[in-house]
Amino acid sequence: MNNNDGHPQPSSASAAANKPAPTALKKAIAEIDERFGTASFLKRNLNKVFPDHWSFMLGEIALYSFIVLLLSGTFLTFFFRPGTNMVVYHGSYVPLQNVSMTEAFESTLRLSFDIRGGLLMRQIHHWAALLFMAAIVCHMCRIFFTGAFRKPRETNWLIGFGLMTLGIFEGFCGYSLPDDLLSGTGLRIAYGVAESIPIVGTYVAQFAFGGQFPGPDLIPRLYVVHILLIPGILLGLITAHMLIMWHQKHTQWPDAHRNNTNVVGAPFYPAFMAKTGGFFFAVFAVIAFLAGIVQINPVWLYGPYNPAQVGAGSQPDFYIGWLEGALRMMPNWETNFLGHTVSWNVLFPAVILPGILFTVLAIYPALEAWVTKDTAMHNICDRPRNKPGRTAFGATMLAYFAILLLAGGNDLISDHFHVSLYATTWFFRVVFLFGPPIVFWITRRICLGLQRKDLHSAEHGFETGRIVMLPNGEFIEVEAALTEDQVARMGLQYRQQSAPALPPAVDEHGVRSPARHNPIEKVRGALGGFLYEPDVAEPNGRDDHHDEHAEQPQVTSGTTDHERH
Amino acid sequence: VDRREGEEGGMNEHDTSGHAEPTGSRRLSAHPATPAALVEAEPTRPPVIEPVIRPQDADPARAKRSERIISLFFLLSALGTVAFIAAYVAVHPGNSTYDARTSNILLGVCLGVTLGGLAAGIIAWVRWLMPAHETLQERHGMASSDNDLEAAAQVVMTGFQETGLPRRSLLKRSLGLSLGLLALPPVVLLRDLGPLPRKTLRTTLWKAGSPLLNSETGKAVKLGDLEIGSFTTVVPQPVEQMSEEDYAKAPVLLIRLEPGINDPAPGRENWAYQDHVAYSKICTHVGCPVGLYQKQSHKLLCPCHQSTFLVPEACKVIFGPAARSLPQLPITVNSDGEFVAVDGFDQPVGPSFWERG
Repeated sequence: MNNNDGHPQPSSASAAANKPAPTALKKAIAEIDERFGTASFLKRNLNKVFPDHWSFMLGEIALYSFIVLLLSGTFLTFFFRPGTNMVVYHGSYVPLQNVSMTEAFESTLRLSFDIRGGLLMRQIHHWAALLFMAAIVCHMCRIFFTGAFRKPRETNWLIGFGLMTLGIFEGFCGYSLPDDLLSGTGLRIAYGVAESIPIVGTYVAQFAFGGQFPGPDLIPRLYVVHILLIPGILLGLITAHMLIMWHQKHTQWPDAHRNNTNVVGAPFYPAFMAKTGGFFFAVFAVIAFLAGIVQINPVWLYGPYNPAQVGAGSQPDFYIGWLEGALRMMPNWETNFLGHTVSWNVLFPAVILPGILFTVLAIYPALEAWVTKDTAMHNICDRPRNKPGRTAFGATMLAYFAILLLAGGNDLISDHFHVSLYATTWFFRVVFLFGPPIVFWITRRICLGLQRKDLHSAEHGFETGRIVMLPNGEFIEVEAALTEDQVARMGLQYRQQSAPALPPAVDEHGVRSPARHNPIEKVRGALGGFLYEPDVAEPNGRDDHHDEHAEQPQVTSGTTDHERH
Repeated sequence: VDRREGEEGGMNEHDTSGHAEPTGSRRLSAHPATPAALVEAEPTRPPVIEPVIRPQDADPARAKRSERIISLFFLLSALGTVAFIAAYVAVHPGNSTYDARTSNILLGVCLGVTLGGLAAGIIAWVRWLMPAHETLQERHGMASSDNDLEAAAQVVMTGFQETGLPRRSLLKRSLGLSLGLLALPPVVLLRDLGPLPRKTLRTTLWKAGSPLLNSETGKAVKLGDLEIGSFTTVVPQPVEQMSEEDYAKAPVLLIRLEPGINDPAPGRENWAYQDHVAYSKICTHVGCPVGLYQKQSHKLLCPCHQSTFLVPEACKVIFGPAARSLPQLPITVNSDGEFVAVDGFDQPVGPSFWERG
């Protein structure tokens, strides 16, 4: 059948497809179709082509971790009791016998020591949560650095951003529930952060916790938020995320076959479907092994929460750790004005800074589209090197988060390397201020260097390392041309994305450009030129800078002409 | 080269239909005797642009070997499930901490084998025995035709006109008012989430005459109980008798400094008693208990964010993000030799807040 349409004919797939469908199957499809009209939908979607690349499965890891979270979390709810009433422990963990604790902590211990498989489910849940967040972060990096957030996929970037933000909050709620010493300390910090908000802070804190810390209501409320509210929203957003992805089709890397208007890959059914199903089991298997072998969050070692106690070396999970680092490295600024206190030492690192970083992250697609005036559809992944400005910007954001995360472990670092704690903190303060711009510059230079290398290979071929002596005694190195596919994979034709940074000051009719006098336009133009203009020699060997110089005299002469008139 | 595995594995079970044709023609013919229902203008599958031929496609013996390996993975998975149930029955975590650990390792590893075997089998099955040809589909532009766009806009506009909203401003305004007010009840309903802060953050249970009770034992701390350079956590009432909220603000560190090194702040000359000083244990940064006392350097360190307070100099901040000294509790000793508070705190304990001033 396939060879009717003139495409090259592979033997096996179509031959297998030629076997007619049995009556029973056709009848089943017809029965469903008469009720829901699904046959053409089925045919179209089972044939949906999915491009394949290892980086496309990062999102799948997040999705499958979420399913594992739902499964293991449901099991946990059968036994966990989110109560703050004090009870005396009489379970089988001997060291805490007769210790007074909340119902929440007691039922967590019961889950861990008296329910078979309970500890496994707790550890599966915790590991899956860490994997969920890690996969989301990696998936977002993939989307960012390949420009897969561009039109038409801006909405899915926003949804994904919402999933990450909610995931952070969901994780925090989750590990606060057992009411152990570590999580209680985290809640104490959260209360302090809420108190630092100007004007409404004390109200926010007391309304959320049901009164002063620790409050009678927080654990039950967190429980509902953790098992119903946020998972419900996550489920809805994930569904939307998947449907939009399905409808818009996946991005793909460029090569000889793949371009902006097609999709090349395996049909969804059966190979892709089976492989992604197998991958679900693989993700679950890794989580199960981790949960079986690697201990996580041993709350019985921390003990029940006690506001007068704290464990040394307290660290939150990694997706909160960067906030902890921000709190630790902030100088102790506080202002009192007209009888009111603003604790910048808490407000800035825990509220303002995350607000800035997350806002930039959320609106980045809009920012880039505004700067580049780019309204085209983009279905081809950018190679990060081909967009040095964006890549450097992303690396800078990552650097901020990484420095904050490391600063959140300043006590462990000091302890491990026998450095003064204060020196470590000062180190991170300095690095936070000056490190990211250096990261920006280095990343940009690396990207430009790699682009130059690509352009050189595309033009001259690659160096084979084979030295040949010519009859006249001259030695040359043999250079081999790249195949068409190899050149296409460099994606060189997708480098230019933006409108020109700024129009010439005066156009060919001698009319002065209004954009040159609009300050916002000037900012936009400067940013566009710096961040998004391809900056390296074109394949023909000429350098963009030279081009600019070459064109400059014309513009100048135009101006001169105009002035002369 | 043809592949039989897909046919054998996938379709033969359904061969009862009677529509099956001879195997030979199925594989060779480009125009099979397909039932009329399946004949369509479009091809059944997306066109293949790059056939991928695997060793298994060329060599039936190798394909058979692959099938056996895949089946081994599935058998391993089944064994894992059996072992999981056996481990569940055999090891009860409640017996001892050791058994709890054994149970967890056994269950986790068995479950991992079950799932891992399944994963390995399925992925090997896809990679060895299912077609992996690169197929191509055109992307159909998302955008609709100009006609459709125009029509859609017109539908929206017409319907909007039909509501009468553009003309009937009274309707529009009263509806706006009604909907706007509807946002209030959910907000109002949240009012009872918690009490108003009032002065609660400013007060603690400490008052004149409060005893300094050891927070662990509940016994009053007496002069001489503390060694030089040691400290203890004290509370004004036995822990069981305080509400959680009161307890969270109550912890105080009673520290016995080396003689003569305490340098009291102006106006606080009498707040210490014989080298014993008492400071709130709740950090002025975000409220962690300031739990680490460095005896040699007389520094109190908060383990959460490393705010450091110098005890002999009124617990002033010498490093870290805390902005204020720890509040001091004035203490003395009563006739029984027990420490008591002279007065409550002169300022709120714990983190700063807007109304603190």
